[in-house]
Amino acid sequence: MSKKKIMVVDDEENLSELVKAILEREGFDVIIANSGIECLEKLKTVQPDLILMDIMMPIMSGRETTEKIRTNSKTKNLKVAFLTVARFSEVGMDSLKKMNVADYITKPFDNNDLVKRVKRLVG
Amino acid sequence: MENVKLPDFVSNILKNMWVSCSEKAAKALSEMINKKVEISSTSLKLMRINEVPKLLNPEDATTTIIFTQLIDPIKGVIILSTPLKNILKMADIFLHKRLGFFKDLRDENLPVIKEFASILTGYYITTLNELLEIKYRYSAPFLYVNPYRAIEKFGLGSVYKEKIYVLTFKVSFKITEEEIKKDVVLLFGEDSIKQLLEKISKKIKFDIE
Repeated sequence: MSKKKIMVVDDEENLSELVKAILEREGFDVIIANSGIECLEKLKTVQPDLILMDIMMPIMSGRETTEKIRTNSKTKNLKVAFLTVARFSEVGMDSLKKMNVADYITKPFDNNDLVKRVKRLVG
Repeated sequence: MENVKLPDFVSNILKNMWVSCSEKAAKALSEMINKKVEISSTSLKLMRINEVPKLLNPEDATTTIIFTQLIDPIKGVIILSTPLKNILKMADIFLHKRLGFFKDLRDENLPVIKEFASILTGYYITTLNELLEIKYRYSAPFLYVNPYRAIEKFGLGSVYKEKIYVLTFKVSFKITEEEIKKDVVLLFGEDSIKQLLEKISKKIKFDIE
């Protein structure tokens, strides 16, 4: 059975590497993109089962990147979850729901909780 | 309108509502940046809209305004106002740079600054929705570096041609550790003040004269 592919999009390289190590240990195939632009570029050739997206990124925020993913016919149905320091209000959460975001994981996160949620999202 | 003064108990209700919004925003901000965030002052005033820039520290030429229009059901504006260096420090924090890394607004930090303003504004809108039992429709955030130009874009009328009065709530936030100060101002135009008071009166049953 092929490994599930997870794309981690975060400008904080140390954090991306940490998430990669945690998820690879659980048998996932992890691809890193260090910006929204790199994410969109990689999505031209890769179809991940889940994208873990930071919101606070330079040049193109996670929100803008997700909006672009949703407007492209090839990527619009990809599963996106936010992995972010941002604490959203109810109104903020509503605006995320409109982008069809599958989950919202706040940093700092608990490693076991992260794995559990990723497994649920790609299961 | 010049002589209008809100009854004290109405002022207190509105001020409490504003403080309640601000406390939630301060708590969320503190969790996001892992630093202590304090509310240093709050005020409520009725004034001409063209006096609003005075609330926004116009003598500092770097004052940066990010505002969100509250479109309906009760028209208003939520403004985040801060000297440029402070908003750049927030971008430094969110983008994991050393403080002072960003010297100006640029493509690299603008999305984060707008996202930050949008998150903060979300707390005010959520609390207003809950307290007034409404569901606000609102705009994306707009960024201006001149308060006098910004007020023309609030969507509350021709600010230098008409006598437009607004109810203003101002709160100042302080992140002492990083010497960051910023103000959030909520404005309601004349028509909106009445709507606002009607909503509140329904909740706590008082008569509007």
